[in-house]
Amino acid sequence: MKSTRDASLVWKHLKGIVCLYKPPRKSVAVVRHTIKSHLCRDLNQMKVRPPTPYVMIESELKDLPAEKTESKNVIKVIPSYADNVLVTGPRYVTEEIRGRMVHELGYKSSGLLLLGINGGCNEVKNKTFHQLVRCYQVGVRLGLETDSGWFDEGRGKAKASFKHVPPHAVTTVLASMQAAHTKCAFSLAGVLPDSQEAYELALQGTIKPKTTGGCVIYSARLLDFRLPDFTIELHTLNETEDYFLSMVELLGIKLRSAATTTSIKCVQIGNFGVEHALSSADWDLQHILKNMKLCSKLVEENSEIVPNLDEERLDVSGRNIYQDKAANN
Amino acid sequence: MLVVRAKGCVADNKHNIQNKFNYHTRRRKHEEIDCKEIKTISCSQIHNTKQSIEEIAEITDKDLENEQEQNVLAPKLGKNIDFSDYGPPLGRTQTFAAYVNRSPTLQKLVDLGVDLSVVEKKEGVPEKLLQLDFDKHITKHIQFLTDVGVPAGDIGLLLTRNPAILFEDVDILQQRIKYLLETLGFEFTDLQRIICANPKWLCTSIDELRNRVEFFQREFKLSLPLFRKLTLTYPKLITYKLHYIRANTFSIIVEMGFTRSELGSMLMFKPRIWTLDNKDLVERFNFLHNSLKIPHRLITQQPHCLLARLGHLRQRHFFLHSLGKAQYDPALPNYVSLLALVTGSGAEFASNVAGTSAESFSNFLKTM
Repeated sequence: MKSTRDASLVWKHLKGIVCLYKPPRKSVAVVRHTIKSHLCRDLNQMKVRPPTPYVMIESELKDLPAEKTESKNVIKVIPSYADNVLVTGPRYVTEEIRGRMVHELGYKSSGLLLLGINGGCNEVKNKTFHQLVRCYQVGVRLGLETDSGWFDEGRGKAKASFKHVPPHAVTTVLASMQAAHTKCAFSLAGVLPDSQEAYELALQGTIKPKTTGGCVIYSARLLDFRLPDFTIELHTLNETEDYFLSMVELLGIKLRSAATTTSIKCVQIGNFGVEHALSSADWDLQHILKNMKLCSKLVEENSEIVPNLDEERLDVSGRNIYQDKAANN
Repeated sequence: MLVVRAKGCVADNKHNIQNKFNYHTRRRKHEEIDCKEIKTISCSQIHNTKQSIEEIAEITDKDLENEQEQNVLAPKLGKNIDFSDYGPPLGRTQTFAAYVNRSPTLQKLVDLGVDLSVVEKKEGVPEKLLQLDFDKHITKHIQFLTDVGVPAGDIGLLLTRNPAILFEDVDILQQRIKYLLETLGFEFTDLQRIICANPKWLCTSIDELRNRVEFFQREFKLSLPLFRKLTLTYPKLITYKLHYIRANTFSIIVEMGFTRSELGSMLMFKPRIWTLDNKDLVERFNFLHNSLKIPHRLITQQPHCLLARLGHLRQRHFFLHSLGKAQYDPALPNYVSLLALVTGSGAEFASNVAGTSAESFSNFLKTM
C-alpha cells in the first residue's frame, strides 16, 4: 500500500460512493456535513498547495544620486501574500465538496446510508441505485400507543395488555401485510396484475415500482420475540420513517393490543451490508478512501445496478467500469 | 460679507453691476448700501460674480502664475521618481487578498499570524482595519499586549479572535488593566491568562465590567477572592451573555433540583456548564439522572459529564451496558467513574475503560 502526504493527489481520488452507518438522533444533513467537515479537516492537515509566486519589481531609483537617470530595477520573486492560507482561508472547504444520498433516513432511524462524494454524485443519480431493495429491522414494543409512534417520545394515546399475543399471531398479520403489498406492487409498476406484461415482469425477478411514490414491502418476517418487545424484518422500497411508524401502529391494533416503535435500522441495501459500513467513530479521510474502494468493488459485483451508459464512471486507473460491465454481459 | 439668498428672485440689476465692478471695495460698499436694497441674487448671478473674482485674481496675483508652471503631472526634471508602484486604484472587493500584496500593514499582520480570512468576515472590521497604519497605530497595541504578558506566539491568535482591540485607544486599554489590577485586585501574572483565554475582555468597558462583577457577586453570592478564582478558571464566563447564565442557573436549581451549595461547587469547578445551551444541558442531565440513575451528589463531584455530548454519552453507556460493565455506583465493585465515561477518544475509551479494542467499539456502534 502506498502512502502520500500530498493533499491534491488525495483530492483527485476523492470521488465515489461511501457506505456509512448513520447513528440514531442525528439528521441525514448533519451526517453529510460531518463527513464533509472531517474530510476538509484531514485534507488541510496534509501537505497543501504552497502560495503562488509573486513577482515584485523593486526600483533602486530613490537611493541613487540625482544626476544618474539610468534606472536599475531589481526583480524579486516572493510567495504571494494574496495566496497565503491566512488570507484566503483554508485550502479545502466544505462548500467545495459535493455530497448526495441514495436514500433518506429519518432523524431517529439508524443504519446504512450510501453517500456519493464529488464524482460519485453523478453515479448516485442512476435510477437503478434507488431501486436496490433495502432491508430494515424494526423494533416494536407492545402495550402502549403514542401520538408520535416512538415509545420514548410523544404523549400516550392508548394502553393495552399484550400477554395474549403469541408469536404466530404476529407472523400471520405480517404475512397478510406482505400479500397485500405483493398485489399492490403490480399497480405501482404500472401493469395490470392479470396481464401478459405482469407475467413477463414477474419473470425478471422483483417487481419494482416505477416512481418513488408508494411503499412496497416485499417480505415481512418476525426475527425474535420476547414480550413485550419483538423485532420484525422488512424488505422494502420507497419506504419512509413515517410509513413504518404508522405500520407498527396498525400492527398493534391488528394484534388486539397497542404498539410503538423502539428502533428502525436499515441493515442492507442490495449487496451493501452492515459489515461494509463505516461507524461514526471511523469517519475520517483514511477510512473513507478505503471504504470508497470497497464500495466501487461492490457496485461492480452487483448485477442489479445497470449502467447508465451516457454517464461515465471511471475507476481509479481511468477505466470505465460501466462499459466493461456491459461488455461482459 | 455679502448676504446671499439664492431664492431665484429678481434682483436689482443696477446694484449687481455695481457689485461686479467694485469687487475690491465690496465690503465698504456693502456697508454703504441700505440693507433693504440687497435682498437676493439669483444663482446665475452668483456664478458671474465668482468668474469676475477669478479674472481679477489672475491679473493681480503674480505668484499664482509661478505655481501654475509647477504642474503636478509634469515630470520633475533632475529628480528620480519611482513609478513602479503607480497604478489604478483598487476597487471594491470582498476579501483582503486583493489588498494584501500592496499593503505593508496587512502583510505584517499576516506575518504576526493573524488569520485575515476570519477577520474579514467580522462586521465593520475590514473598513476600519484598512485605514490603520502598522507603524503608527498597531505597534502601540502590540507593545501594550506584550507588556501585559501575552506571549509573542499568541498575539496573532488573539487579534484574529478580537481585531477590535486595534480600534481601541491604548490609554483606555491601560485604564481597563488598571481597573483589573487595582480595583479587582488581580495579580499581574493573572492578566495573561485572562486576556489570552478571553480576547474580548479588553473591549469590555469598565462600567460594563463593574456591572458584571456585581451580577456574579449577587447571583452566586461570591466574595471578591472567589470571584477572582472564578475568573481565572474560565475568563469567558464573566463577559458571556447574561441570558444564558440566568437561564442555566434557573434550570440547575429549579428544573434539575441541585442545592445552592452544589451549584456553588459546580460553578467553581466547571464554569463552562453555564455557557451551554439550556436545552442541551437539561437533556444531558435528564439522561444521566433519569436513565442512568446517577444521583446529584455524583454529578456535583464530576460535573465533566454535563459537558459531554448526549450522543457520546449514549454510545458509551450502551457499549458498557452491552458488556455488562455499566456500573456507576462507587460503593459497588467494578465502578466506572463519570469522568472515565466522558474522557478520551472513542478508541481510548474502548481500551482503557471498556477493556476491549477500538474495533469492537466501532462494531458496536453499527448495532445502535
